[in-house]
Formats: sequence, structure tokens, C-alpha cells
Amino acid sequence: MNALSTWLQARPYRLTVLNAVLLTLVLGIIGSAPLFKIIGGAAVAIAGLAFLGRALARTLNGRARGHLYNLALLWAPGVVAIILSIAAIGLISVNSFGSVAYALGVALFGVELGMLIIGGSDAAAFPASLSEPV
Amino acid sequence: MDFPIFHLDIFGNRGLIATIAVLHVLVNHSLAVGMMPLVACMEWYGHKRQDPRWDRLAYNILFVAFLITTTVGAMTGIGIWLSVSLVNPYSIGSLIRVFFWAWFTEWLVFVTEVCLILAYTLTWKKWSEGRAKERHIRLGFTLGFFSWVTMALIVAILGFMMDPGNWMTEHTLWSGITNPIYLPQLAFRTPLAAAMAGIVAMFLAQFFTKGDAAFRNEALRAIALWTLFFAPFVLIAGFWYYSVVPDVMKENFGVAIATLQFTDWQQKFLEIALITVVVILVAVQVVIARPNLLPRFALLAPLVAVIWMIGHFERVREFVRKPYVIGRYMYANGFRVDDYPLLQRDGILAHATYSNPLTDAERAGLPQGLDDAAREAKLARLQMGKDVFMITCSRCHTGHGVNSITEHLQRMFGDQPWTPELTTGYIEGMHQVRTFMPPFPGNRKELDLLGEYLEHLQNNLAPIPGAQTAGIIVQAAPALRAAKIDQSETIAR
Repeated sequence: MNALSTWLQARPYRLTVLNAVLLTLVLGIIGSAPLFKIIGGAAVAIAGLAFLGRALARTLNGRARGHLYNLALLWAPGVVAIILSIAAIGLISVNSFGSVAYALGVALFGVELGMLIIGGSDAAAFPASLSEPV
Repeated sequence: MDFPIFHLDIFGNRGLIATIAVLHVLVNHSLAVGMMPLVACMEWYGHKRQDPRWDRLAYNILFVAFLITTTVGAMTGIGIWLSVSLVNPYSIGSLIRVFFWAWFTEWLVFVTEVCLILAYTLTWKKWSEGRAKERHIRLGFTLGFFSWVTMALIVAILGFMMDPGNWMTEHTLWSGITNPIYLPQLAFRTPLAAAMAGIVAMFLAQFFTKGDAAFRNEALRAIALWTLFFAPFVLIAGFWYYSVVPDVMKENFGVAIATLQFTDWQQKFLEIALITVVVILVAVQVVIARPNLLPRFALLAPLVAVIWMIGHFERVREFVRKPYVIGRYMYANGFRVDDYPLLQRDGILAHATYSNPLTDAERAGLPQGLDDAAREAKLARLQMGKDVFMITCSRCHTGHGVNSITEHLQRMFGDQPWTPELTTGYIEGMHQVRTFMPPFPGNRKELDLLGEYLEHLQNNLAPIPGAQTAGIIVQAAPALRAAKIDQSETIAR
């Protein structure tokens, strides 16, 4: 338990990702598409805004400015996560609870919400150079 | 009907072409058209940053591409020519007549491409400094351009086969090249090739950067970005391509994706295709965000997914143009649409140069109680029925193997006797029910002969050999052939 606690505290986003995964599980088990749309959509909106705000700030503050390559590295994971999490909500909405497509939609949503949170965290600490570790 | 008929009764002729062509497309798109510019970019990037690790990685990936493109790629390229010439010489003959100069140019470009890849690979270590390196990088981009031009020329022909467009009235090379499918298909294949190259390069990069985790991550990220950059263009061009496919061909999608038995599988395929796209995007996303967390063989998933997708894409593209092999010009059985009135009047056997002799195994299973004369007459009619089958059906169907005629008859008519009345009644109007089937090209007598032969196939499971194993018989003059059919009919009565 201590090891888990230490691991979670080692990176600030880990606990948030864990919460996102638990939220996805609860929503998935409830099986209500409208609820998934509202709660899941809100979660994506919050995490998405956090990512976009941080990425925009990082883009404008000069560390990555002028380097298209670095900007792409900064923006790509979060933008893909927003697109795929919206696609996942769409998949959940049009498929019935218990179907394979529904389960895949829930799994994709969980992964992409997690990736969006990680993207937001990474954007806050984005390195100036590609070779620097994130 | 001026060529002996090559036939593979177990694997099927379509299977032969499909296997060779899909393998060629995989190699061509991922390791030539897409990979050469990617390798040149990696070399340029390494030179710009004066980082020899990029140079080494680019060379190692190029070497793999060089080995595969100059062996499997080149052989399957020739293999396509060989297999289509064997299976449907009439369609390839028509295409050569229309695209002679385009193909001649493509041959020159291909030879140039081979020379360039040899030069690019073999001079890599020699031209490694200063101006020579810059020249070498330019050589890489030139190679990439020539690889793309070979594809650009061939895609014109592939588009023409789906929809010849204005060529049907103008009959010029230019009108053939500017067919409605050409640009959308080229726009689709170009980013697709680049994205495929990215997926293959990511997979290879893991093995060529062992022991240098920092560089491995850096390289994987850069290649993942390359892949991701082209992904939206694949989707946009894919939509454009789909929008220009004639509606009548879109109706064939369900059958094209699987087989006739699985027409309802279309929805399932679309779901799996969607999953494939998502798998690729997630893999690329993880590579960019957390390359260090990616297990080495995790990239096998997008690699297998993209191979699977391309295989299906090519299969669908080949099938949807049915009943034609060249849209509105030539049916899949090799007969020109304009020749149908003549053939349905005279019969196809009257114009057939060769006959496909029945083997001893194929002669078994005749009805019991026939005297010698009746038996000989029956065999003569079966021989003609087999010739009708070989000429009209065997380009696509086998007797008892893949996509066999007996499998379809069994599904439709079950174990009841497949009497000529039963089967000919269906074949006569099958093109109206199954719009991907061409109309029967022969006359009424030949339809009856085919019916008798199909009835025989229900009781005889021997493989139907092609000319390559059973040989051929040169036919008598047309008038004699017609007389022979009449004579056999009289005896049969």
C-alpha cells in the first residue's frame, strides 16, 4: 500500500488519472448513455480545457515558439486524446450496454481521458528541447 | 479466346493475383513510396543536427527497405504481370493498348528508381561528409520522388479499370489517364504510403536503437509525428476517393469485403476497420507522449492492423468493379461488352481456338446404364460444357476450390439434383439478381451444355485442371464446331 501511495505521489497527474479511470468504470457499469454523455463530456471538457490552456500558454511563452517540431510534440497527444475521447462517447451513445462496441468505447474513453490528463500535465512541464526527458 | 486457359482449381485464379498484388502493394507503399522520403528526412535531420545516431538509424532502416524492395517487391511486381497475363490476357492486352506509353514511361521510371536505390544505399558510407553528404541527401529525396512517380502512373491504370470516364468516347491515352478515379485514388494512396512507412519505421527503430533509450524515444517520437501528420490526409482523401466511386460499385461492397455467404458482415468489417484506425492512433499517441512505456512488441498491433486493412482495401477495390474487369468496357470473364451481341448470336465455342480436354478423373460419375454410343455422346457434350465453363466462368470461379461454382450451387439448390433446367434457369438471369455477375455470353445451346456440365460436377469432385497441366486441343474450324454441337444435340435427344 505504501509502495502504491509513493508511486501515486511521485507524479502529480497519477492520482488524477486514477480518478478518471474510476469515473470511467462507474459510468461504464451504470450503462446510461445520456449520463455518460453529460458526465464524461464534462470530464473531457475540463481536462481538455486544462490541456489547451497550458499548451497555449507554453506555446506563447516562447520556450517552444518557432519550433514547429516541438510544437507538434506539445500539441499532438492532447489533440488526439480530445478527438478520440469524443469518438469514444459517440461509440458509447450509439451502442447498447453490454455490447462489444460499448465495452470498447468505455475502454477507449478511459485511456483517452487519462492521456488527456497526462497531456495537460506534460504541457505544463514541456521541455525546450526534444532530447530533454519529459 | 485466342489463349489457352490457365486455371488453378483449388486456390483459384483470383487468389493467385490477390496474394501477389497485395504483397506488392504492402512492400511498395510502406517500404518504397513512403519509406524513401522518410529515410531521406531522417538523414537530413541527422546531418542538420550533426547526430550520427540518426544517420545510423536511417541507414539501417534503408537497408531493410533495400533488401525487401529489391527482392520481394521486384519479384511481386513482375509476378503481377505474369499472373494477370496468365489469368486474364484479354484485360491486360486492352490495358496495354490504351496505356502503352504510360507503361513504357513507368518502366523507365522504375529502372531509374532501381538505379537510384542502389546508388543511395551503396554510396551512404562513402558520401558521408560535407558537400558529398548534401548530395547524398538530395539523392534520397530524388529516389523518393521517383518511387512516387511509379505509383502515380500505375494508379492511373487502376483508376481507369474502375471507371474509364471519357475514354469510352474519346479513346485517347490522355482521356484514359484523366479518369474520374485517378486523382482521388492518388491523393489517398500518397499519405497512406507515408503513414504506413511511419508505422514500419517505428517498429524497426526499436530494434536499431537498442542500448540507447534516450535516442530510441527521440526517434520513435519523431517517426510517430510523421505518421500522425499524414493520418488526416488519409481520412480526407479516403472520403474524396469514396465519393467518386460509382454508386453501382458501392452496392458491391458487402460482397467484396467477405464472400457471398457473409454479405451481412459488412457492418462488422466497418467496426473492425474503425478499431484498426483507433489502435493506430492510440499507438502513435502513446509513442509521442510516453515512448519509454511502450513494450517493444506493442507496435506489432498497428503494424498488423495496417497490413490487415490494406489487404482488405485492395480486395474491395478489385471486387467492386464487378461485373467488369475494365469498367463498362470489358466483363470480368474477359469478353468486351461490345462483343456480346455477336457471341450470343454465334456462340462462344464458334470463336474458341482451343478446347480443354477432360481428364480420366473428370470422366467419372456418368449416369448409369448408358450404352457406348450414348456414353460417347454424353462425354462429347460434357467436353463442350467444360469448354463453356472454362471460357466463361473460370477466370473467377473454381470447380471445387475457393469461390467454387459447386459451393454456390450447393448453397442455392442443396442436395437436390442440379438439373440443367434448374441451373440454366438461374444463370440466364443471374446478372439481374447478382449485379456483380456478368450476363452469360454464349447462346442458348451453350447454356444448356454448361447446365449439363454443372450437373456432372455434382457427381464428380475431381479438380478441373488448366491448360498448364492437362494441355489443350486446337479446335476445328468454326463451321465444323457448330456442326459438332448440333450433332451431339441430336444424339442426346
